[in-house]
Amino acid sequence: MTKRRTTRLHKDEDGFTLIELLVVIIILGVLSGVVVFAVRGAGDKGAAAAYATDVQTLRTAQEAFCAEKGFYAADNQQLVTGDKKFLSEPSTLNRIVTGPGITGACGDGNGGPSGYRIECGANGMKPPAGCGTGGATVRGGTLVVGESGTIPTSNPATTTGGGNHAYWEIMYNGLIALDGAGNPVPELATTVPTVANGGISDGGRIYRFTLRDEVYWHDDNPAGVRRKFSATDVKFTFEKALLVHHGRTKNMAPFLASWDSSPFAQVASIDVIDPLTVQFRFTNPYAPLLKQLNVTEAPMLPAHRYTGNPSLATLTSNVIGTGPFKCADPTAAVPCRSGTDAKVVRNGTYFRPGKPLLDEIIMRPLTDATARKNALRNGEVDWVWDVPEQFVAEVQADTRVRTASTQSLGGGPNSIDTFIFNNTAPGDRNGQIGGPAPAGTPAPHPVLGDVNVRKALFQAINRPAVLAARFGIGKVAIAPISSELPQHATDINLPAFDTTAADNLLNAAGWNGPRITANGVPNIRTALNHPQKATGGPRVADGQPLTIDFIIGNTNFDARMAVIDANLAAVGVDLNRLASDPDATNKVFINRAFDTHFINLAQGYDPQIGIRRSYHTDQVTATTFTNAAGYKNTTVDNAFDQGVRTLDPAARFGLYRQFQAQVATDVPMVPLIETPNVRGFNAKCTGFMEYTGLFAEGASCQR
Amino acid sequence: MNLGYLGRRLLQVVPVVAGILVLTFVLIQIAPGDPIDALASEGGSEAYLDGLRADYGLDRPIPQQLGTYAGNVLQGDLGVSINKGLPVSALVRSRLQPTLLLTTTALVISTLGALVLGQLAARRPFGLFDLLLNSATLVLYALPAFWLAQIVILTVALRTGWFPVQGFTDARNQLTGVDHLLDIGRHLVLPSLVLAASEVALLARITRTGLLQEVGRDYVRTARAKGLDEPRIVSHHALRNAALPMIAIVGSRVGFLLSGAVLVETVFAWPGLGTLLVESARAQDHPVVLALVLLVSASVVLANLVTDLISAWADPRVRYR
Repeated sequence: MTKRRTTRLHKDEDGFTLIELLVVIIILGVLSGVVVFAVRGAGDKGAAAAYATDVQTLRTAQEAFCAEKGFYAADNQQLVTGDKKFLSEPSTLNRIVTGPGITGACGDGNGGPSGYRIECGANGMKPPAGCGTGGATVRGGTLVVGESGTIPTSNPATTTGGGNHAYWEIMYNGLIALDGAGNPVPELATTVPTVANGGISDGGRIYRFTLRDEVYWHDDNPAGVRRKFSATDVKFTFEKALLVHHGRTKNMAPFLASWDSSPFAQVASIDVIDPLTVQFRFTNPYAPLLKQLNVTEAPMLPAHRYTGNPSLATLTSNVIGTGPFKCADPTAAVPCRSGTDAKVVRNGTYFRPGKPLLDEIIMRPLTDATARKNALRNGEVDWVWDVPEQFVAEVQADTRVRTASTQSLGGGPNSIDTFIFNNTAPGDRNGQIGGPAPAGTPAPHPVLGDVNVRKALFQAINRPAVLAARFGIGKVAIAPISSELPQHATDINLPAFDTTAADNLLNAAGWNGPRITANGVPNIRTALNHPQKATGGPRVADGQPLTIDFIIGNTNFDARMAVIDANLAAVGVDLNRLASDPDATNKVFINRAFDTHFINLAQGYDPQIGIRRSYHTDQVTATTFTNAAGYKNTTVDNAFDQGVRTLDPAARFGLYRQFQAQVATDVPMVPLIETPNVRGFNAKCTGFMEYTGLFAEGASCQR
Repeated sequence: MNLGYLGRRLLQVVPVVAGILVLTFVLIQIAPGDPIDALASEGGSEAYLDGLRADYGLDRPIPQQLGTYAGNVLQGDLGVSINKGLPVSALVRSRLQPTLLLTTTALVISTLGALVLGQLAARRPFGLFDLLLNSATLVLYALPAFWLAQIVILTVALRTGWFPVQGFTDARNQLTGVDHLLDIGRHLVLPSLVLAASEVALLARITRTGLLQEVGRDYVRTARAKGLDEPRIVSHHALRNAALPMIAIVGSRVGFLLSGAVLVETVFAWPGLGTLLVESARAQDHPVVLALVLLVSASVVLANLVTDLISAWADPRVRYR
């Protein structure tokens, strides 16, 4: 070791003086004051932000209408009528004329965003004259996207990871797209099959698709080997990738005739009729197929690049699609890159004439939400997939930026915040509640297995307050199925917020002993450590406060969970957080070693895609994103089992209404709020489709 | 230079880094979370997930995994990123340059800034400038880097538009040659100043204190008696001695700079090792996290060694033992 004979400092010249420390304390005090004043009034700002979001949504819808039709819609109603709907959330129409923040008098032209005027009555906001004058399209240029995740290697056919889809869907296509309202529209198929046009036959067992001619893969060589998209590619993509690896689409596999999932023998009745005709054959009528064929659920892969049964690693490295943008260097060791950014360039032979307009898209990983917001405001990125709720008001106040609200998310659309009760004994994967149960099922949860306790907790939760904690962005859920789906029921009676009723229910359920307080917070005693309660015996007060556990996989949900925590404390229920980290939560979740769970569930475009997994008996598994409640009910199971094979919309609605009514009776979980996503984009750019991964297919920017 | 001493010090690096490797490996294994869960997203059956674990060798006993990993590291193989599918060494190489640029710039700014400010403050102890500097450095030292970064972005960058708020280069305009260097320079301004802020505060105070001690010593009095002017006395005589403790501290601050860089890089989306560490930790990408911890540990140990060598070079009274 080195020994230094350097001069020592005098002791009294080390460290800080009292005055200096006082200065630091004063500074910290000032900073705390700034933060407190900044946070106060967040609720009011939330309502204003929600209104501003509505205004922006309407403006975006008008501009999309203008781009499509060449003129603005005469009134807002015109945006939601006709074949193509430009507003996915009709309730915006009602809110737009009553929301806070309208500063001008009704009809005086001062209330709306620049160039628009607020109208009286149901007509809402009117656009300026001269459709298209403010948003002329420009060819060429670069779009910079601020991505929330790091650059993944997977292609979107083998995973449902939101980051993967946000990066790479733009290079692919599906057979059938979904418009802003979730309706099927042709993409790689020339038409949407219907019974009327003969595309759907045998009562819904057979779907036949005619494919577009002249669609070429990105590795096509007009001067050499041609690579044309064909029915063989559809069969390959489903049998070797989607039905094996895609988290949601593979749930279709058991319904397909001749499906064999054994390793290296995947085969289904997806038949190549001719190069431009492909046919799906199901064992029974299959209703949801047309909602499972867009670029998120079923992006097409090139069969010519593979032989046999490709491994997952081989599939995930694919960078060849048919989409509007492609890799400039598909054979590079690390393709589709520009330094530490991802990069795709215009596909000059894209099948839609005149598209895309942009030369290239640079996708920069900006994993910190604040950094993304700042970069958007500073004009350094042109598009972000999500403006976090807390920044929506700030971003919308910046004239350099526009926003658009959508129910679509990278990993799956139509999300609902859900507070799940574990209906089964903790640690038990096979419990059941509600209705007839299979023989030999184990005991229900000692506390939450009682439907009256679940109802009490449901009624204790103030869902509008939960929405306010999301800055008012979204709406209170009134049914288990999202209001964006046609199967949404408006007439079922989920328990209303009523703390008196909650108290009464808890008392009636036997929780009527004197409250125990710990640090001033009242607690009820759960039966987890009090088996007397579970067997109906008298409640024993031993002075030891107990709690109901909860897990939450994402700290973004903390503010909303805090509302629930306070609501339940008000009726004497104390919540104890077990895990916050996504992976730790997964571990607890898989073993069902929890009492309650807060999660945001994407429902997809059909109940069969994202809702069935949360309620059906066969979804009580050790896998995440399945039936976490351990809920089992034959009425519910029947609704899904019949619904999947019922094509008639009215009959389908009837079945799913039964499911929703049964859930309202059993309350295995609490659908809290519907949570739309807010996109942010540069005001110089136009032509985005915020509801799809092909968002920039027709986008352009004026520089 | 005593080569024997140098060799002994270098040999001491080996057990330290090996200990850190084992400790980090074990801690990561104990921590909750599974890289395969993060990789597979939703909908994987247990058999499917088990298959993926076997593919990445995560189904083997931990001691066996550790042995394999250590053996590979000795051969220069840091493994493959589970999340990104790329060799870890390539990933680290691609992120090394931005971090080195950021930390080196911050080190230079803080060291030079501290020397200038410390000298100015020491000219008139307890004068107005000295008091102002003392207060300012106290505030800068107390402010967390991530908070200061946000304030600088909101008050300077977003209001004026003079500086970019993220990245290493402009994503939209891919420049070349001198324009490329200037572009990097523009992006470097704010993060390097923020990272240097707390360092300059600490070092300026040390410089000032050191100078005040030195100017009262006999050799300074002798220099004055010989008629040398004050600036020359300070810059040629007192400063060299006053800088000795600063040299020692600068070395030990390398670790703080690297850890501070994690926060600053995250706020400014600077594509360096710090952001790579955060990304990898979030994705449970164990091979990358392990490699980065090893790299940072080795850097700190080596920086301390270099500091000792420089101290001995600057101060002949320090001897190698």
